[in-house]
Order: sequence, then C-alpha cells, then structure tokens
Amino acid sequence: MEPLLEVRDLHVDYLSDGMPPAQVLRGVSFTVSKNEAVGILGESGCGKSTLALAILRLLPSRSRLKGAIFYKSRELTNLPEREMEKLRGAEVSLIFQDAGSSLHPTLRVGTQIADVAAAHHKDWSARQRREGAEAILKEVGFDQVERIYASYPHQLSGGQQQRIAVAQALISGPSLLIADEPTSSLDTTVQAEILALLKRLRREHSLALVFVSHNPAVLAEMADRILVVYAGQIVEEGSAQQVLNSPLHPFALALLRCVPKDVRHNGPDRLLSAIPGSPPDPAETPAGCPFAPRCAERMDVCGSRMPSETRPEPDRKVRCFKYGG
Amino acid sequence: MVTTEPVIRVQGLRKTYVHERPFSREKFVVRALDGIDLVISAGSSFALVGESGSGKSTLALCMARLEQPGEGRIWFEGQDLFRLSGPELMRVRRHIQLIFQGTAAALNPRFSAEEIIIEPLRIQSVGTRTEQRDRAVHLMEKVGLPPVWLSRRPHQFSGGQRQRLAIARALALEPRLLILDEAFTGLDLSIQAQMVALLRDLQSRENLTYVFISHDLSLMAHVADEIAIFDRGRIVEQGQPSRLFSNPCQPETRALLEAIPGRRSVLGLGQS
Repeated sequence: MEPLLEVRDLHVDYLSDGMPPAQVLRGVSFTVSKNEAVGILGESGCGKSTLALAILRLLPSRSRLKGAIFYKSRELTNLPEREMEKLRGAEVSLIFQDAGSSLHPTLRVGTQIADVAAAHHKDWSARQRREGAEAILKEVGFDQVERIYASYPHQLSGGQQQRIAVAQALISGPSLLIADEPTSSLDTTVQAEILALLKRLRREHSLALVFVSHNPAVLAEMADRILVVYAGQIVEEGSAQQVLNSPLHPFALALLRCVPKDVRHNGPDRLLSAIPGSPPDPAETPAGCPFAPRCAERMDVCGSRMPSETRPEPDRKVRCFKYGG
Repeated sequence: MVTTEPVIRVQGLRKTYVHERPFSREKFVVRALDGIDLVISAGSSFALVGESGSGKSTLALCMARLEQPGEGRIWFEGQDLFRLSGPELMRVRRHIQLIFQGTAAALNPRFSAEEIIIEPLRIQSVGTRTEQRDRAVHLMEKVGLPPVWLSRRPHQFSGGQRQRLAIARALALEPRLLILDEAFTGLDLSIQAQMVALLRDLQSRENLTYVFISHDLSLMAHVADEIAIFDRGRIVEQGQPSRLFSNPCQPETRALLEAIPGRRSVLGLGQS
C-alpha cells in the first residue's frame, strides 16, 4: 500500500556566517502509513524537531534541505509555496510543546480557531466558522464551549491551551498530525489527559500521527512504531514493542535505562543509569559512529567509520557495528 | 557537630493569597497552604509532589524565607526562621539554597560562569578574590563542567550544563539544605538521569539535605526517601516511595500514579 508520507534521504543543514554548516539531519528515510502513529525518539539537539518542521517546509530561511518528501505521492520539497499553504492544516497539521506561545495573546481563542477554518474554507460564512470552531472545542473536551470560545489564551491553563492548539490543528480535517513534544511542559496528570485526548481523536478522525518525544514512556502510550534518532540519523527503527522491550542500538538501550521505573521492581538502590557525556556538535562531522564516545559497548571499528544500516530482524533496522553495520 | 535536630520542622503553616480583579471589588482567596506540618531530617531527601497550583512551591519559598506565611512556624536546624533578622538571618541564608526550573531565566545572561558562581561569595563576603576564583574552579569540577568554561556565558551552555552551573552556584556557600523546585522539568531524560546521579554523589560527600518539588511522582520515587503528596494546600498523604506505589491510600495519590506515562504499556512502568 502507498504510504501516506515518505521521507527519502533527507538532509538539513543550518547555515551561519563564518561557521561551518550545522548538519542537523544526515540522511533520514522513513514512511508513515495511513492511520499509523510513528514515534520519533531522541535527545535535545538530535534533529527531531527539525524533522517535524522540514516535513511542512517551515525551516528557517538560513537552512539547506536535500532529499525528497512525498505526501500522498506528491513531492513537497519543490511544491510552490501557495500549494504548500493549502496543504498545511488541511492535510498535515502541527502542534508544538508550548501552545501558549503559539497562540495570539490578544485574540479570543475561539476566533483563532475559526480563523484557521476560514483560511481553508473561503466559502464558509461567519456563522459556519463559529459553529465549526464550537464543534471542535467540544471534541477536544471542553464542556463550557461558549465561555472557552470567548476566552483569551492567558485565561486558560497550559493543558487548556494545548487543547486549543489541537482544535486549531484538527478543524480543517488533516490526515496527518505532527506533534512535537506536545506534553513536555505539562504536569504529569495534565499530560495524561492530553495523551488520552490525542489517542481518542486519532481513532475518531483516522489520523496518522508523527509524535516527537524525548521520553520513551510517552511513546509507549502513543506510538505503533518508533524511530530512534541520534545526531541527525535514524539509528534504530522497529515496532514500539520491539524498540521499548528489546532495544538493539546501545543508545536506545541507554535511553531506556534513564526512564524512572517502578520503584518496587528496582531493589533498594533505585539507580537510574545516566548516559555519560553529551551529543556531538552538529557542526562537526564525526569520523566514526557519532554515539561511539558515549557508548558502553564501543569497539575499535566504531571510531574509524560510520556504521551502515542493517536489518537484523524483519521490519527492524539498526545502525551499529554490533549487528554487522 | 552531631545533632539530632531536624533540618526543617514545619508547624501549622498557613498562607493565603488574596486576588483582586482589576476594575472590580470582587476578591478571591487562594489557600496556598492550609495547615502544613512536617519534619525533614538531616541528610535525607524529601519530595513534595502535586499538581500545579497545589501550593508546593509556596511551601518551598517559605522554607527559604522568601515568602512570609500567614500563620505557623518553620524551624531551620532549631532556629525559628521567621524570628531571625540581621546577621543571624544572613548566616542562615547561606545554608539554604534554591534551584529553579528555568535556568535560562535564573542565570544572568551578561555574567560569565565565574561571575555567576562567585556572586553569592561576594554578597556574603567569603574569601579573597583569589580564593573565590579557586573555589569557582573547584565547584565547576565538582558538578562535572570543565573549569576552562568559566569565562563562558550562560547561552554557551546546553540546558543540562546550565542546570549544573546553577547547582555549582547553589553549592558555593556550602549550604546544608538545597531546595530544588521543578529542577528536572524540561530536561531530557538522559540529562535528568545525569542530574540525579550528580545530586546523589554530592549528597554522599557533603551531608546535604534535599527538598525536591515536582509533579513527577515516578522520578521522585527514585530520588526521595520520603514523599509528601500535596493537594490544595494540604499534605494528603505521606510515606516512603515503595509504600506509596504499592499501597496508595488517597485518591490524589492514585491519580498521580495513574498519570505516569507508559504505565499500562509494553514498558510496564508502575505495574504490580
């Protein structure tokens, strides 16, 4: 079956004066099927947010993109900007970590949702827009729709603001939602509510989801399949079950060990094991595997050249010399 | 000095905030703290866990004497915190240090790392200029940052490194109580785990007492000896992490446990 989204050998560099370009994505390829939820797992600075922005062509002007992005078989990287505008929101939507800063502070949130509808349905009357916005507010879990419609962003809590962002993202009926750390600045209890909401909406709207997170536990809730990103490359790919239960790549394994487990299973010392060091500077091109300096299982070959992608099991990919590389 | 005196003893603490709406006589009262009693013993790690707005940060600010309670008392190593003034207060302030969530906002962007670490020493007039500099080098090493970075400014550090810098500054005056208010929030899991390891290591060497404030019960279970669950200005349940996880008695505790992501998934976190 034709995938909904296909990203092929995507490279993104950020350019700055007098400095070598920062290679933020170094050849990323993956697909997302209709109705599928794909989790993108990685640390800050690994390129996962850049990936989310690149799909919608929202990268800053001082950047360079190579590779191909197909959405419903249309190539997006050379699509005229006007076509791209039609696609954003109507076909592919995006929500960010901090909804509060993506909402206009002096406009009522209802108006801001209706404005999104207006951008895609030029023929809608003011009443249709308002009704559309009210209907979606109900869907994202608000009871007092009229009060919320008339509220300003600062009158709402962080969780409510994120619901507004979700309403904006869904009002034009997209087939793919990209969520970039949508719950990372929320309380655990509010996070649980937003995750439950996204799961329900995904089912009801037959949405495909690209969910970006640094937290394996959050992806355990949300993802069917997980891509682990390190230093701008996908280092492991597999079903959520495979990646979370039996990770192959040493980075994936190390990251999972950072998740606070149930204290009752951990014995008296309750140790979380930290990953030593920090990710490489994207402006420097490492000679070998970029994870090698932090890797507990490093071998001689790791510092000399980049491992290539292998398939140790059907439907699983990994980029590590342990598996041939 | 060997002492059985707890580091912190809180008794009957109450604090209300009164908000007035602009252009209206309408007032509403928020009970941020509604009768708090607790004891934190020296060298232990205590966590206050609750949702936003439950009052846990207000309690932290009272412990640091940055907020005045309406009623009740707090003793720090036996001294009544709200009766201290002048040089006595100055001395106690050295021993209680705070670390906040947003390090980007808590560190002066125009200061170098060295100036940031030395500032508390200057304010408290500790040591000569050379001694202060040596101290800064030593503190950088202690929190795992290369001392050659002392001339860097905060924006040249990553989020995790800035949090280390904030810890270095907090340790400059050799405090006995460190209050960490959502200090892990917004950090990557890998950085979070590094911070936990660093704090544990420091505690074993310096006889520090930690008070953590967080909404993340699963993480707190790994760092605290004792957890108090906060809800609307009250402690609704308190106990050791393993007891709270295996036998939560209050609905608020159960709600926090339920909210832990990955709980019922393949990761099996928080499952019995």
